[in-house]
Amino acid sequence: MASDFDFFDPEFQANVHPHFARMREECPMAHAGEPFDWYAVTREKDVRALLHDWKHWTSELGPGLSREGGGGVLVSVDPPEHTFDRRIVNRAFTPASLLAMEPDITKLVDEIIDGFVEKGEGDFMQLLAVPVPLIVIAWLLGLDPDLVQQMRPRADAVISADALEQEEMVRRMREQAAAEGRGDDRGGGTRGQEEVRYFLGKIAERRAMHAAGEEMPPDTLTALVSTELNGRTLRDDEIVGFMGFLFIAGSATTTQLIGNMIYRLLQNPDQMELVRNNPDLYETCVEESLRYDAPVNGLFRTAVEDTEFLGVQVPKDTKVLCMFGSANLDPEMWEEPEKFDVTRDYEQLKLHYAFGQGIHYCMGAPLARVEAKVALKLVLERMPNLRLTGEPEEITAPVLHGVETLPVAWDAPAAD
Amino acid sequence: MRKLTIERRRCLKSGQCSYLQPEVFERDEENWPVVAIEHPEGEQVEQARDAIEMCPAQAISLTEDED
Repeated sequence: MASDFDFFDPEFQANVHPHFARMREECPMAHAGEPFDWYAVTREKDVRALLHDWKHWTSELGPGLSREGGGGVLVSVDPPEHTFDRRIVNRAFTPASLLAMEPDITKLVDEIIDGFVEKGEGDFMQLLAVPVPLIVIAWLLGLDPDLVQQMRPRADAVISADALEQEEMVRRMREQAAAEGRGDDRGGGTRGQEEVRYFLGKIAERRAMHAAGEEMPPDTLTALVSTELNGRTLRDDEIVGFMGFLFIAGSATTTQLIGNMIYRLLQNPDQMELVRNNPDLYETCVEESLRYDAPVNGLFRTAVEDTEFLGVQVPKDTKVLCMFGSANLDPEMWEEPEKFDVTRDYEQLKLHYAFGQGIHYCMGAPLARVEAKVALKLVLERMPNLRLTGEPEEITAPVLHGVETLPVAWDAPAAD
Repeated sequence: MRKLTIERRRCLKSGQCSYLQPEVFERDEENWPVVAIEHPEGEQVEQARDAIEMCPAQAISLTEDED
């Protein structure tokens, strides 16, 4: 059977809006044949149906096309394991605690802008959109921000890899974490990933503090090491899975959000002026960016048994991509969906699918929202007359939607 | 008397409440959460509090009525 669309074609990736529109109209359960049979749903009601029906559409085989899952945590498990994971992470990841980071994030973004503002031009992604989420996730995981920034290419490699490569990477990471966690070096040595060893070292440090009864930083790593639930705490390899997942899920996605939002405002100067003159619109602008340019095109669910969906016979273990970015543009749900409009009604707007919906709803959403709002505010305040100076490059990872580079210039402050 | 409410203005349809505590919360056909037990008692109070803790939208509250 021929494919209805080619998700991995750079042309598709560069023009997702018209492709999504065609798929919603012509093939709402679109078939893809590479590297094995899978499908994509693009209408809002179908995306919603799958995301809320985790009993029939599982995450156990991972949220990507790869069938090895995401380290066996959160996004790649269902209840009851999912409930256990989510409760533990929630202890250090409550919406209230994430919102409380706003002053620290404001200070961070201000300092990063201090470091480059006099240049007057550069790649917005490298200058701001990349470092901010990486440093924030380093704070949460108790990691060294400089080291974490050096790890970024490796995280990107995982996201950009194709399904079969990802399966291999995740399997290796899991084996190494389990082997080294047992004090067994077989998985380590030269074949081991330095990230896994680094994470394990941090876990050991924190466990020692916990055992000695020392006061520990109130971050996510402390919660992972010390929280006991149902009579047990997490093993080292489980914590490494969490850290790897949070590191990847928490950085690249928010980088795309910040980049997409600024790029879209640069293409819509009237909307940028509206936001600049109405700080009340910051939050709506972030939500409209999430709707219009969802940083994650979509994530997969897997059929738990032979079934039928939209008249298509779906064998057990078939993966279906829930296209968040397309649900966000479905005219059945949105008025003038192709219009980028920062004055939409916030209460309806917040129900976009950029963070998914249902039990796997993104736990980092409040953090991403704060980071994007702070970045927006300070970019508008401190980078006046911001303008594009060249053509941005599209990001290559198919699951992500956004730009890799965003060449801009602004009016630098006059030197004293 | 205690009263359990969901603020739809804040709700993000994450579905946490109805799947973690199905005795206290239900879902309508559009996947909006619905309070099934408006005045929780005994163990239901703990169940309601668990959902409050786990709600990513901070949309659930449990209040003591004035009367």
